[in-house]
Amino acid sequence: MSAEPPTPQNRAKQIFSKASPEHQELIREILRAEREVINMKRRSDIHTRLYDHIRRIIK
Amino acid sequence: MILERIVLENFRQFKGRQEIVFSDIRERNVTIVHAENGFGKTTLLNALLWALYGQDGFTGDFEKQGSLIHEGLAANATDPTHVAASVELTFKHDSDRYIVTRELTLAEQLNDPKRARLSLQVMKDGQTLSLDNPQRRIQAIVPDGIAGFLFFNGERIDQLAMEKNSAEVTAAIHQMLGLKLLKTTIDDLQHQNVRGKFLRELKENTSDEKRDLLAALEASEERVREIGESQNQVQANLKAIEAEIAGIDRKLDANREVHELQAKRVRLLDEMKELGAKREDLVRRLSKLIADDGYTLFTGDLVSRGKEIMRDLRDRNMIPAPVIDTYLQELLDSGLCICERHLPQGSAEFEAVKKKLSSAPNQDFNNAVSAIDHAVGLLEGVSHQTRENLRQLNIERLNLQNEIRNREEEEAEIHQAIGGKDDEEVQSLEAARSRHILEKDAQHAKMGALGRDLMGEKEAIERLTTQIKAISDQEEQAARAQRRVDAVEDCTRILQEILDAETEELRPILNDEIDTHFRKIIDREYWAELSPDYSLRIRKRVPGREEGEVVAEIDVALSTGQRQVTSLVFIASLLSLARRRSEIPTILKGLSGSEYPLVTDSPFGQLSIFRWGIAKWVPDLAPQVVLLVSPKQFDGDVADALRATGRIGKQYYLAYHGPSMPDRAQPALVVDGQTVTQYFQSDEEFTEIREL
Repeated sequence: MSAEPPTPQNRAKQIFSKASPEHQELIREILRAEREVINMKRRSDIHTRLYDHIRRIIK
Repeated sequence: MILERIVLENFRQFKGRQEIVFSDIRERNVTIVHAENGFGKTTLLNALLWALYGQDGFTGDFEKQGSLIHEGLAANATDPTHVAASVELTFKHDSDRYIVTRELTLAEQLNDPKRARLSLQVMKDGQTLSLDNPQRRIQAIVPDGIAGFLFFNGERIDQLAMEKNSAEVTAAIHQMLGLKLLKTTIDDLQHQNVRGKFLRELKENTSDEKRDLLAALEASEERVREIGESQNQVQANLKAIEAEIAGIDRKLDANREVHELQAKRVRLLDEMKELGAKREDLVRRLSKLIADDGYTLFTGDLVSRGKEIMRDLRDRNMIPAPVIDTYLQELLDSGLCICERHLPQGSAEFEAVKKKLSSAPNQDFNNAVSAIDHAVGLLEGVSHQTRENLRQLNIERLNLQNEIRNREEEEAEIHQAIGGKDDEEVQSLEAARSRHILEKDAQHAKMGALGRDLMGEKEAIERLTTQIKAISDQEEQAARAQRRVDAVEDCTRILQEILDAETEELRPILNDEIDTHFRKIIDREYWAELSPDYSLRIRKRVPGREEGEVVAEIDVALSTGQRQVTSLVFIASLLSLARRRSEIPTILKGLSGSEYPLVTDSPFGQLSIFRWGIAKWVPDLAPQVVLLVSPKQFDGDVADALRATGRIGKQYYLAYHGPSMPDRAQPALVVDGQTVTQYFQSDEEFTEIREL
């Protein structure tokens, strides 16, 4: 058996931690907004929220 | 979600108020509804789906979807606002009790049956609360994306275990194991109203050169969308064609005159699938051999020339070097020559030996000579072995080709024999079958062409994106718009990488789960695996000529029953993992374990020898199982396995009242030695749910 592969937590975290602080903040904000509406069929409101988040964070 | 009770009122043939209380005892988690075909199993499944999702939830085989109220009541109604159908479903979720009720009056059915009224109550801390946005709440508890894996027609679930359904398999993993959040976020970021809007802003503010490139990018992306839609259409066409062919095959199989020919054809087609899988595997091995060792086939001249040079040098006593530098140094150090003469420092002899030392090879030279010798020999050996392996594989490939061709010819003869029968029905079935096969090939060709177009467009998008990024904007507004576009792209890429990493890490865990249960059910040397591209595969080893030698591992061409087993085991394994989701590491916070029931209509129809295993093991994996079964499917292995494990918690049967009994149904039902009447002659048609 080869060495244990990294756990998803590690792999996904590694990918996330390599992102710039600006992108990390953006991804956190976006996922927080998405979590609230994950199962909604109507997506127009979340699209507006994502657009606003990006405008606010990326100057 | 654990189902507790369903109450149907005037829903289709379920006239009046009818209810089922599901078993929610963990050790006896199976509820069985016995019903002959035509008594209302499919309607019962669809009543549950209607309660949760309305008209959007119905299964494909549920006919007359706009007519839900009991026909007799609807026909005799004097006031359409006072006649209604309703379904009330009670379930537990996260320790709260929910009651969902959907109701449709005749007036609403006549106007628009999609306008059924929905309410959702939750009982929390001894209080009953009416919830706003009931559909949204239900979606949050059981998203309709997973409904197809929880509430389904067992006879059609075999489709899941087909290579082309890897997208559905991936979607099921994402849905059930909580990764849908990442996928939905990626889709939302890429939407016209997010990324598209930033691109439009960039286009408005940038240079002409960049604007042209952005227009080209937009056009390419539009084409990708169009190709995607066409691919979905082709996929849907292929599914429909395959369903048509399967329907024709069943009819031909049921026809006495051609039954044997059809059975032989099915056998030949199965064999061809298996041979095809072997051939694919062989081609893969051939490609690997050529990629790894193929270069050695072109080294013949190099090896000959190398050997010739080595021989010549050896003949001239130049290799290996007879005298090396360390030896000469030793002579100088000892002051004594090989010929016994003294070598005093500064003497002509000393200088002569010293001169030789400066040009004498060292031990490394001799080592290199021996390494070259070895490499040349090795290259010659590998070249010889590669040529031999290629020859063998090619022979095998040709043999397989011949075997496939022979079966194709046999199948073509069967087509002639069936088509040549005098029976008009057989003739027309066979003609329709040929038409569908031709259309299937045409659709496959179309899919191939679309795939090539898609690749071309994706390459263009990549090229254009790089070109756009390379042009830096002078205007601040344009530069900002570009930064925002870049941020969307970067975040999408990061989220996709995270999603891929999480999904990929779930694969071995799921694989272990699937394989463990699959081996318990399928008693052959097969194993189940979720391939890297997320298609469900059953693999087996092909033995070599010598004992214990395995020459290849190939996909097994599955029968419908085996595919059904694979699909059921996959779903049950997912349910099992979903239950212990919180134990599996993930970057997403707050993913807790979720319990879901498995409700299936006629799951044992095609299972034949696997009925016992499925009935024994699936209730072990899923927290709750509801089986809607005909007596023919239940009697024997299924009943034995469920009784042996003591899993049956509740049993009901559907009693049918009508002017005549459906074909092949029996008037009485015998379960556990108890005989009950299940058909009642009556002018009016309706079904009752009775507890056993």
